[in-house]
Amino acid sequence: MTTRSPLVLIVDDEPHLLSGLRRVLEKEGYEVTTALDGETALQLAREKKPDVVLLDIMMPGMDGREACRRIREVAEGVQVIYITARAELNDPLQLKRLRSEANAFITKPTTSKRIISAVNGLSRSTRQQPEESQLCRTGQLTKAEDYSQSTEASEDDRRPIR
Amino acid sequence: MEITDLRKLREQSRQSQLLATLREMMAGIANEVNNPLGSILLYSELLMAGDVSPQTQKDLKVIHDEAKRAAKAMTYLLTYCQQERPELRYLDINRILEKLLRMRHHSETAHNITITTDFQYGLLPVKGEPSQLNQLFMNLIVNAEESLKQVDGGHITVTTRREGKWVKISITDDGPGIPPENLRQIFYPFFTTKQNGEGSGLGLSTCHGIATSHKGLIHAENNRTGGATFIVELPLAEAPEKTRTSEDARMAGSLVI
Repeated sequence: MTTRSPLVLIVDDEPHLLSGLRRVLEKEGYEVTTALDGETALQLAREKKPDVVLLDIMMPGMDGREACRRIREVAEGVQVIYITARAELNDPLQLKRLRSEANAFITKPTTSKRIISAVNGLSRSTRQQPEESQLCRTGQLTKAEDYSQSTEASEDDRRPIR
Repeated sequence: MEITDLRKLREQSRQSQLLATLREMMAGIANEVNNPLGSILLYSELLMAGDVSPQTQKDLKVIHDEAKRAAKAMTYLLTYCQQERPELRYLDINRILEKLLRMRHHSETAHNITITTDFQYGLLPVKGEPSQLNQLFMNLIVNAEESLKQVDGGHITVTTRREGKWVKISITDDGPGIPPENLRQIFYPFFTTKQNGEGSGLGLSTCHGIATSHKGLIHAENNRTGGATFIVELPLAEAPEKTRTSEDARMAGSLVI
């Protein structure tokens, strides 16, 4: 792997979110490139070979998951983080499917802290463990990190639920 | 068929159609709201990380926290809207409740709330979706706590019993009870007695949704001696067959929560 700053490709059809995510990651020292849809994302992936892709899988047009598959074909060893709605993860069958496609997932709406830990976590593995990125290329993942909100009760749940 | 049966059937069908439409609408709204909320969270964080006065910092935190709160309500909304059959696993009710109560212990002690548990000895297996059942009982426990907080503390009793082919879970508090005029609506979505938008009004209707999707029942009543009781009844799980896959064996053996 090269010693450049990791390149993150962010794909989201919401322009404000896209811009916000870009600024958050650039502040952390990442190189960022963005796309509003799957087609553009694929083009950028082909040209720039990102290390990490943040991908909203609920976009109109090219299915986010289809985009992931095709991006993996053109960008070797890329780590993919799905951005999805909590409800998708609550369905165990869907969760299983998503786990076999992405390296990690984040639920919307998310905080910059979560985005940063997810990208940090994955870009580290890209740089330090090339063997693992071989696994990712073939889509056989051993573990997909879940950076989504926990459904477990937390301190936040002290607030009335009614 | 009796006229009354027909009428009942028609009414049930109408209700389930209404609920289905409502659910779809709510799911759509939740998704439409989550995107703007995401932006609000990110941009307020970007601003907070900038060079701003302490007052502005405080104000931005309010924006951020309120957005988080709205996001939480959306999560409940989406859980309530789920219609697909959850992937069912064998779960032990006593263990679920034990774990939840342990989590709440600290908060309860802080508010002068004591708990008694009266668990039926042995396993009480139900077939259910873990995160949903956790949420169901968590909501009920927190609900009991909330009503006791209104009277500066009190006592909650959690009882479990096997009754025929059912597992019955009762959560009783000795708080102010439920105003009789509210009893009928208490499980309706958006019904809340909290002031100033403090409650989402979704906690108990989520409980109802989860109980129903697990083929169970839930109801609430006031105790003769004061306070309220919420009762959940879930079908007892049939024991897994002797010849089972290793996955079933693992699940049954460990009774995952």
